[in-house]
Amino acid sequence: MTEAYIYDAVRTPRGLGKPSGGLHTLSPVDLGATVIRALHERNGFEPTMIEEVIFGCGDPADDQGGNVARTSWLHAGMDEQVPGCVVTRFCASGLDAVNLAAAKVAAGQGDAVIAGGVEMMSLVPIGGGGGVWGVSAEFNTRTLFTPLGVAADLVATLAGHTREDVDAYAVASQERAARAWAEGRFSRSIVPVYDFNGELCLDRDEHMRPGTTLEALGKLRPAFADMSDKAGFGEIVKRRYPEVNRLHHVHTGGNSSGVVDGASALLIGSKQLGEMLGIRPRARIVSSASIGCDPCLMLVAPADAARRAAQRAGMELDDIDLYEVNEAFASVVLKFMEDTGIDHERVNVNGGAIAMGHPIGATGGMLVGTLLDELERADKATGLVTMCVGLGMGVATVIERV
Amino acid sequence: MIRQQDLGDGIVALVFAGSGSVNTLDRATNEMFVQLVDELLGNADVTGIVLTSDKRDFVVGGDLKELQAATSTTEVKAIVEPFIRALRRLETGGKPVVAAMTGSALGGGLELALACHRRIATDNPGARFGLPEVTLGLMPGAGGTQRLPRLIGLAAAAPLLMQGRRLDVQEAKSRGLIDEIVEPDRLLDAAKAWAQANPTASQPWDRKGYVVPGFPVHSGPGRQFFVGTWANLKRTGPGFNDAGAEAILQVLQQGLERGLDAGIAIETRYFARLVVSNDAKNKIRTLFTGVNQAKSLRVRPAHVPPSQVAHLAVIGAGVMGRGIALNAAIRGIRVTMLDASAENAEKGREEIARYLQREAERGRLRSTPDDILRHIRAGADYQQIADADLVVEAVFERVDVKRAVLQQVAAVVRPDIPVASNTSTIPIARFAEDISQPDRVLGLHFFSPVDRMTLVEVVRAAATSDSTLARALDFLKQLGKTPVVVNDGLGFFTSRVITTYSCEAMNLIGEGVPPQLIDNASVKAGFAIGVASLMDLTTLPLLRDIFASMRGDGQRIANAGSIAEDTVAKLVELGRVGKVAGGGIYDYPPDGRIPWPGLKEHFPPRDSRPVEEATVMQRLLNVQSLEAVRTLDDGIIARPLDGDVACVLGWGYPAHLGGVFAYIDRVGAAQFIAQCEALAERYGERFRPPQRLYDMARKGERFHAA
Repeated sequence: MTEAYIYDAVRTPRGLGKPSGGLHTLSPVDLGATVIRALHERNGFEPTMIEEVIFGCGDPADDQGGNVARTSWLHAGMDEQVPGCVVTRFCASGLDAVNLAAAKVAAGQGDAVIAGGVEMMSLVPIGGGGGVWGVSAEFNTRTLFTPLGVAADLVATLAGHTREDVDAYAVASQERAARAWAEGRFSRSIVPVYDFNGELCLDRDEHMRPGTTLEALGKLRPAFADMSDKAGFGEIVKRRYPEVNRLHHVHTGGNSSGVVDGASALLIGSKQLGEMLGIRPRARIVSSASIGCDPCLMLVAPADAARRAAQRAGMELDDIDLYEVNEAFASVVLKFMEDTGIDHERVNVNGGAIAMGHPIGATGGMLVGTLLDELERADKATGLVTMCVGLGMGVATVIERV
Repeated sequence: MIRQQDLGDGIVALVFAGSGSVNTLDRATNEMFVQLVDELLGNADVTGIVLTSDKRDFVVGGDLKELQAATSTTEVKAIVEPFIRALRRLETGGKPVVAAMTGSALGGGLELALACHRRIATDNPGARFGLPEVTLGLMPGAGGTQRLPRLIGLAAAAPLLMQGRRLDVQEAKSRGLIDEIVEPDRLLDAAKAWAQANPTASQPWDRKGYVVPGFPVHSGPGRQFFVGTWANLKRTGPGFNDAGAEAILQVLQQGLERGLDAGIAIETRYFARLVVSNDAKNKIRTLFTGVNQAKSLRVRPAHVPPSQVAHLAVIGAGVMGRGIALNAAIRGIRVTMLDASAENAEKGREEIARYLQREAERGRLRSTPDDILRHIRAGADYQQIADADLVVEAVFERVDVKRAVLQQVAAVVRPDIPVASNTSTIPIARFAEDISQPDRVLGLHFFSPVDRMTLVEVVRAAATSDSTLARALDFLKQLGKTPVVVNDGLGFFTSRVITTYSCEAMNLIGEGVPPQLIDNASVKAGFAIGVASLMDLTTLPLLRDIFASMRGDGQRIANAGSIAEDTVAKLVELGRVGKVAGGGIYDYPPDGRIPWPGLKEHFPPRDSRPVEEATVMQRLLNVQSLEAVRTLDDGIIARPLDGDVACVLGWGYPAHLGGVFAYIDRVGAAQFIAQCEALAERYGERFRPPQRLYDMARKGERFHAA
């Protein structure tokens, strides 16, 4: 068996996921093309060396539907002999793209794959990709449909997280992200986005609110209280969790992931690719794992996914130097740390989606790039990315610097 | 039976003319209908078709008996598919079809009308239009779930389908179910005129370019609608268990993604499964068959001539007395409400007046508060009830107080009139014994709130005469109540059974089971309110009294191994009262109830392992069914269906389970016994199954045939 290596990782900055966002007037294929061209310019590969492009997209509909990998590649003016495909697993789609690319290369079924993701939440809102989840009464009953935010409050209620706990976590995310930007920790990976007239659209993550305080966060209204109490979801979760008296509404816009636009891409290949191009690999993709869990509670899979990926890598969780645990909601990360005993010192050290935003299908690729940059900066060896997913799934990846 | 009537100029009417007072779509009618549709469509001389009725109402539904008897989906499909296909042929046959509705169109009758190109109704104030199948655990099965949203849009159709609301003719028109309202003598003319003016009528959904009004299923508003409607259904105990409403929502979603024919095929698939389900059969048996039999006064002694109450006497101006007085007054009966003092009685009347005012403001009254109040006079003088036709006493639940009142009543009223007690637990014999002519005494156990609870438990004491019983039943019919007749005994049927439910809840509390787990288990089972919360609403001191009154000789098996009385006593001692007075099992801060922290200290968990919800549900349900079987053994309840009706109507026992007896059938006698034996070992002899159940299990018997 071959090994799969990460040669490079790039990402666009994250634009606000609303009409005022810096990327909103662009097309998803513009974002996809941006990261594809950046990898090409930085690594000098002949396009036909690429076996294919795999992009994650959480809601592949409208302009980001119809195989946004293939459409982005062609829109970038790249060689039509290279195909593309899309993988969709809601929030982890980008990480799945990386994992599948790695598996292809490791299985000897391609020397080079570009993997990443594209998502424009300002254009296609979450859920815009359709599916029976939500619209089918039977399916909703079978899975006890719970809106993600209500599930987050359920996690908090079951784990005993207070409003202070989750807000404190959010403050840390903002502080760490601000520090990372200030110190240029992302400069190797961020690709500023221009339009075809050469006008700059966005060069930094615009969702961040540096200087956020606990007091300021404390003033925000719980975002999911009405869904829980007025729409009835707070009662319905008790059909699966009868030990619950009532939900504690602790999540707000300030301690949940931001809604944003963005794209990511990684160049993943075999050892031969590096020899062909005369470039050194930056890390090896050691292992990956995907697991399923309760589709009502949903958000507690990261720990088990991490365990399986680590075990597959022949490692203990404690052996791994750094973690990126997607900040879907503050309680997700708090719960992960409680479940695994991994300290916040090793987790999301440069902030996360609460500060910078979570462009659903692109995030997985962004987290791998972020993790890799920090492993190099801090001269550490191993890292793990893990993500929670709608309908109760978790995906994880272990990388090792080389 | 359907007659043909030539309206001239090529327009032919099909007149639904069944025997009986209403038209229903039974097998014979459907077969005739199918035949006639093909005849008329095939006859070149016929240029238009009018569907009408020879009765006050149009068509009010299908044949539930036939559906109830079906045990396979194949059978169900065989019943409905010919009718469905005929409706399709009718609306695509190229000839105009008009529904000329003399009155109500309900269920299949409305589905018939929806398949017509034009719907005309008379301005009949009593007429009702709707698809109420869901209220009996079913769903429309003749295209109603598909035609209605295509006619008026999904958002408007869904609540009508899922709640089964019956609209009056004005509302039906304003919501788009009816096209035109005319005077009764113009009905056929209007129908004929429309047919003549529209010789090539077709349905909107059969025309090119038709788009379902409103938003697509897969769109932002569509997702929001389906998620929101699902949540709104599932958030309550009864809604969570309403398979019919869920099926309707499901076929709306899948049907509207497709054309009408595919949508109807999907509807049929779900309909067939629903009809043969235990849930639906339970609801039909209890809510339709059982309730109708009760309301038809099935057990009224036939030899007693019909009677009517013109003047009702109510003793006691408390909540129950007021409710009974009001119920009677609304039905046009003159009421005298007496209390210990004229002042108290007058206060009671004023309370009724205030209530009526609020109801009027909410648009819930058919007449005015004054019209109703005029029927009620309040006082303290027993002479005022000398000419009463029936008396109900609703004073304090104490034997001595009730006896004293009944003595006073007996001294003034005519000797032949029924004298009833509203007692919930005290055996009637204890009152009858020192009244002259004890044969006129019986129990009329009303439920609160009287205006919403249709059940009345009629307690026949050993001495109660046929005449008394018959006249009391006639009176209840005047009130529009659903009577269930039981024999005399401590707690009769309803209190005896429901008290086991409350007791078991308090047993669980006493064992340290968290109250929210108890509540969640009972809501999941299908109750509207969790039983622990219900205890707080009842108030713990009252609960203590109820438990005491049901203690009997202290040897009742229903209480074997029970710590309920001790638990309630302790809570009351600790100052816990209930929701209205500083908290009981729960505290009630403004942001929502929390379990009283004192529970952990005073009732530490008995089990080291957390108790499972399934076990809690089993205890709460099985304890009721066991006691129900004992009431059958003791001859209190005459037959299982009576018990099922009484529990569903009396305390909101989950209708989809059928009732306390139907529940044993659902689980299966053998399995039920096994569950109860395990519970008995662990929690006490009150769970020991009666011999009857062992016999049933051995013989493979059920309480209900189907």
